[in-house]
Amino acid sequence: MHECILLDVPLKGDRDYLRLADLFPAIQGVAQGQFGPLAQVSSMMIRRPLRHAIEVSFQPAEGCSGSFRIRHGDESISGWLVETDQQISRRVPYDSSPISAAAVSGPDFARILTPIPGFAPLDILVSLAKIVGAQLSTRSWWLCQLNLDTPFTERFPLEVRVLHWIGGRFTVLNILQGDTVIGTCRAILDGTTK
Amino acid sequence: MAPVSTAELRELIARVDTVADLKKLTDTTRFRDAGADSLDFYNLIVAIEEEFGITIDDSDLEEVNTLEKLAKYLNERLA
Repeated sequence: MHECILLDVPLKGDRDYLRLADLFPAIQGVAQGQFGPLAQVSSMMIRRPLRHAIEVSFQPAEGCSGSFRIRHGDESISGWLVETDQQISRRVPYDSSPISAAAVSGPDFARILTPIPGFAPLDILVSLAKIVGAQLSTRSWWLCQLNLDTPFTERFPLEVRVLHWIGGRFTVLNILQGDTVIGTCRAILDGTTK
Repeated sequence: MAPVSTAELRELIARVDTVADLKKLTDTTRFRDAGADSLDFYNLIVAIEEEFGITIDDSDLEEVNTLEKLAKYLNERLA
């Protein structure tokens, strides 16, 4: 049980790498497939852009590209992401410009007031994090970590707000749905955690 | 308040899902030399700021690169 599971995740738009937001729904699917419909991915971390197909392992994996935790009742289950040498064969169109166009932003925050058809809350979160990140630095941001106290819902507004800004290179953003903080996401500059 | 110990900091870094080899991380080993990457280090700084209610100045980050130096720094700041 729980051997490595190869994820079928397409590249989005013109990107040549997978983002945390691309992988999260697939891992959520694995969590519910393995542990039942109430299992939720409570945290996820990616240490570099991922350019090949990803396997999920529930055994510690040396040199892994990332890790995650699943909350299942009182249990917390750890998993690891392993980048294989398999090419990613699928690609789907993606254009986040409707999110940017609908976003409201100010010092240290960005929010979307109402749902945007065709975009999951996590896609919106990534765009909001980019908007706030651009206020801190115009260099390239990498969303490397997501910690959820409670699962995403369809509640709006969805907002991100700067909680920490460290070393001129790393930021922690609170994620709010409605008026409630549901977790944090973390982003680092220049796409590497080295 | 009791002084911050390196053992306490070791527990904090273990909590941030580090890729560092904690067996190699002695009090005087640089985080990087034990395999920690910058995400581990920044997550440790966030955990410390939240645990102790302080802000570590960006200009001090390069200096606090071992458990021992970090504990010393925190104890001076919290004194």
